Amino acid sequence: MNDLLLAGVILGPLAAALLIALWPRLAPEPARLLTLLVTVATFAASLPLLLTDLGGGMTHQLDVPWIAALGIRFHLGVDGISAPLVVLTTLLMPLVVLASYGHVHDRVRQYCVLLLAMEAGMIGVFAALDLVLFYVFFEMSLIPLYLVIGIYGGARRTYAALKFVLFTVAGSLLLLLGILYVMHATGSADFAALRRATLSVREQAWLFAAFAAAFCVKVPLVPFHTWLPDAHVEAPTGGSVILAGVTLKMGTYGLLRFCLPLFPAASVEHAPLLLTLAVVGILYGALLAWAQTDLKKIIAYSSVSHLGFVVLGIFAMQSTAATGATLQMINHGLSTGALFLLIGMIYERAHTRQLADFGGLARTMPRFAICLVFATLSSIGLPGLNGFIGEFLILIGTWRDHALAASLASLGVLLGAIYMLGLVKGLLFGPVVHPKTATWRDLNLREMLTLAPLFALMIALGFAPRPLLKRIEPAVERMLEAPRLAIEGK
Amino acid sequence: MNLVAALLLALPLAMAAVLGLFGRRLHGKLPGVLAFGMAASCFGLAVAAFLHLRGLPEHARFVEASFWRWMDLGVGDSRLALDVGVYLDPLSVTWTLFITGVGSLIFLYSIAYMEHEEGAWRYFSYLCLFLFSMLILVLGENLVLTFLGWEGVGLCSYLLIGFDYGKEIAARAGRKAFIVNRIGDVGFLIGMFWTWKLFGTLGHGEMKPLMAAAATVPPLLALGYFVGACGKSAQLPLFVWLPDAMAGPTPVSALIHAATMVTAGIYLVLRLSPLFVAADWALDVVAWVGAATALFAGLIALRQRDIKRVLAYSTVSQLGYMFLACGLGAFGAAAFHVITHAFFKALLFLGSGAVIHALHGEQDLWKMGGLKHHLPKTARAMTVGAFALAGIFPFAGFFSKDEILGVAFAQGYAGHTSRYVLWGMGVLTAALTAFYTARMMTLCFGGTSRVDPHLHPHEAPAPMAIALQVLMVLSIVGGVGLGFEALHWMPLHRWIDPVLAAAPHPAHLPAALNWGLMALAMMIAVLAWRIGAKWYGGDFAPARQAELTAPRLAKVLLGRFYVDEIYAALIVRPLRFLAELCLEFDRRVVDGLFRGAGQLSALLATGVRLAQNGVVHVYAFWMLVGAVILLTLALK
Amino acid sequence: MVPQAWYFLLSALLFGLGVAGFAARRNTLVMFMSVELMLNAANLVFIAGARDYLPARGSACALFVIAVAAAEVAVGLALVLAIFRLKKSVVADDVRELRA
Repeated sequence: MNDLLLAGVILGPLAAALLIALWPRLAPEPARLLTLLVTVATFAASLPLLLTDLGGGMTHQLDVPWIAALGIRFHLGVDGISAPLVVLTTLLMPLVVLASYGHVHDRVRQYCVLLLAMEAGMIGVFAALDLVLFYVFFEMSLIPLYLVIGIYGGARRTYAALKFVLFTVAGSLLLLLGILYVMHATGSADFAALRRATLSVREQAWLFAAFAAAFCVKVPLVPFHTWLPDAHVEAPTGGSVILAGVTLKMGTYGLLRFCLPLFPAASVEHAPLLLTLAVVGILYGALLAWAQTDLKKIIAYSSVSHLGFVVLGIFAMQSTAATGATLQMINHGLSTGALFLLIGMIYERAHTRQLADFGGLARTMPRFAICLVFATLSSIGLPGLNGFIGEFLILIGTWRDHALAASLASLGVLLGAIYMLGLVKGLLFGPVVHPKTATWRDLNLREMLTLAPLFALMIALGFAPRPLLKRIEPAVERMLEAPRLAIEGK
Repeated sequence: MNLVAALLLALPLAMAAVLGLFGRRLHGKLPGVLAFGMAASCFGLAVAAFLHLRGLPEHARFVEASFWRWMDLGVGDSRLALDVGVYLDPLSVTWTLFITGVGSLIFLYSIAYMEHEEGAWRYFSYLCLFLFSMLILVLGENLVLTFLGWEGVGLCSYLLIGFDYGKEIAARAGRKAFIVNRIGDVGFLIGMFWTWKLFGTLGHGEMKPLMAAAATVPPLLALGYFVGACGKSAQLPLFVWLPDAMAGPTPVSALIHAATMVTAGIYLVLRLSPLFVAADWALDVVAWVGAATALFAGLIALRQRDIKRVLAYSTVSQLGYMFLACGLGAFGAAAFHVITHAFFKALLFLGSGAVIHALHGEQDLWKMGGLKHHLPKTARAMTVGAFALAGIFPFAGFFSKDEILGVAFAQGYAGHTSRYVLWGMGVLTAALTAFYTARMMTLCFGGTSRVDPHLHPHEAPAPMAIALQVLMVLSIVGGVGLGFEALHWMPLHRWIDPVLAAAPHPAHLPAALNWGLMALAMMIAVLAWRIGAKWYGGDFAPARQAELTAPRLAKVLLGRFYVDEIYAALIVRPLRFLAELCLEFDRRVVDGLFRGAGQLSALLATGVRLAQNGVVHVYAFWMLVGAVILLTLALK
Repeated sequence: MVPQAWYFLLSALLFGLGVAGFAARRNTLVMFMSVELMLNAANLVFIAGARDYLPARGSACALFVIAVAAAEVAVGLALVLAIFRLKKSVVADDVRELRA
């Protein structure tokens, strides 16, 4: 039974991108409005994905032959892991478009085309159930982001964009090799078929290395993280939001979706290494964030730390932890997305991102202050907001089998408070530093509207995460079946 | 009861939201009056809950009300099911009663205190949020909800300390409070993780039989929670945030940093008392930390000049007494001291607020003096509070403090010799307490006036005065009304002890010895008070001279044992250095490796590039060579 | 009829002449002519082969080569012209812009 909803959600933005690209008479502002409408419509269309539940199985599947000679199929579908990520993507896109009113004034149409193409690619990554199709979407989402950073970015944008692409492509090259080998060895690229295939332990080890390398670069897991701060600092606000909100999740998603179920023995074998890297990432990223003076770099390194939690939760191989990790992917998208939006807003006014240039904004920009404090609290995992649920589930689940790792990771919670409150204090409190502070107006209605959906979700997920958790858990459980058998077999 | 419980949480939260969203448009006293009305209603609800529980038979005195399922994950022994709900039992209701009761009075007081402040609506919104967090802390159905409230009160404390955001000091103090508390939170979190692994649940109601049945639990598990309690209740070594927190408005100091929030640590230990009892030597750690903190903070308080700092250190010291009681297994006595302390410390803080208010923000004791003539009502109220703090019969503090010291002595008497040391530390602290309290009162109200002559101190307006009067009455009757151990009149214990763990080393003193000890404590307190009052009474000059030309110990006291400096040198700066080191490492080594890889390929390219010399004939030559090779291969 | 080997011999001679010319001369126009010589040497082999073995295929290949040669001349002469305008010279050694 084929369901066209997912295909529509992917092809809709793609069609709109083509339309805007090929309609020469279209003026910039109508193009932007059209983009906004398309992204909102895509969001609305994607909501049913979240509501259908088949006990953790794939829903909304579309399965048609694509390159029949090689057995490659156009196979889409979502489960409890991917559906929330798809909706996160479709939710963030309209906000990115809304935010672009503040900072993208040249080449607006091209920007819209890139955003829409990127959206299609990102949704495709989460929805693809065929490895080759996954790879195609994986690369398809990369190039528009490269262009967004390279064209609309800051002073060192070329360096940053190139670095971003080289890192990612180096990783995905290994992924491609891995996919080709899998197809050669099993004769199929379909996810469902591959889960039934058995690869020898030796094969698994190599394939796991190839896949994990690609995904760890994307996450980014220490030590592959150095592209991230550069990319974030140079990217325009929208680029940063997408990068942090969605792109990084492709890495953790890939680890959970492909590495664990397809190469269970190797995953179990290498789990200690990844757990170690995750813990190192949590602490190291937090320390680095503390030492930064550039607002965006602080958030960039905090992402390294937060994504460390997600990897920790995935490789703890425990369902509560992995469910928390999946939720934390969403949480990080919300809170870091909001933080990048806020930093973008203040940058549009001040044209500086140095922490030392700010001070006393609580008095002059109260609405901004409230929003920043709110996003910060979500980011540092204050109970009652979304971030806490994710971190808590990850840590409590990890503790069961890896008490030391969980304890060390808990210190990340403390370090998180240190650097984030440093950021808040530097921006909002104390005496006014920048001479022009008084001329910066407070957030306007558009900016509040951009942030409002994120804040609403932070509260909702903090107090009532259960509907989402209920959707995530069975799907995560399925991903953990194979590694669990591998552990028992050991 | 479900409705009462729901309203207890919903009212403050709703009020916080209303004031936060629309408070800007409310003028004058309206935000304060609304908030006070809400707090008073909460007190009414708490009384209703209390009466309901009292009507139940002793073994069934609890109500579990669940509002909705928070999360429900996993199966079997790894199931994690948590509700958003309320657990009412004598312990939580007792806390609710004094939180809302003392809270209402402080809300009332704040109406007048904050009248002329800019952004009073914001202040009251935070205060309501605080009340909500505090109530969810004590009423929460499971440990995670308790943790939610725990962090929530920390947040409100952070926001309220930094309320005056133009002040750099206030912002710094707020951040310090939050971060030091977070250190404790890590302990709390780890305690929860471990508890879940051990018991498979985090619900208070479900844990109760499991904890009681557990023969032994790892001491480190209990200590995890104790680290959390140390953070929130400002015990050694995490007490450093509390004195700095006095940068916030004075009613906040009274509510959060004296009466309610800082007792959350005690609440946690009481709530998990069976766990602590089963955790082998964990209780001893609690007792020693408590006694040491009491003495340590008492010493520092001797030489503080800021009136609020004196009170802050005395709070730390009194909290030490409470932990000492917990450590001795006298959990009921700890709860007793929490309550009396809430009365008299709130009174003292509010009184000091009235003084500061009258002096337009002056907090330096050296610039006060002779105020009893200008502020007679405040002076009277504060004197009652001071007597209660000093442990003078028949004021509230005497009874609770004496009970704790009595337990310590009794355990020593029963053969645990080391408990005599604890008792000695307690008695010494009591003497110090009476001394510094007398010093503070004398410097503030007695002697000749050193007040700036341009100021004309006047009594506080009505709402502040009413709050002071009520608390004054409570500080007098609050002790004897709740329990007098020597006379076996112990209504509080009868109410609360059934839900607490029994003491691991129960001990009783012969009645005569008990009375004798009581008289001794009383004599020590009175004597210390007299000395303090004498030294600082009369002419101020010699006293000041004595404090200025301080010998080494006194200088260390004035420097507060340099704890902040030591932490800065041993922890903060090395950590910061590590962060900077990581940054350099990241930039040079990690990123350097990748950039090096890039440069290496560029270097390789330079070698290959030599072939591209731009001379067409050379290219042609190589092409020819290639063609010949290919031909040879093809023809072979 | 002239034996086939003779044609091949002539073709080889012409080809060698082309190679030598291309390698020895610096004038791009002469180099072009040398290239044409080589192409036509190849053509000669095709035609000669066509006569004796596969008439259709050999002729077709020769036609292709002629077309390619024409296209090559068009592009090549355009390049030479452009270079001449730029450098006022048609000597290959004067053009080394692509040296790495």
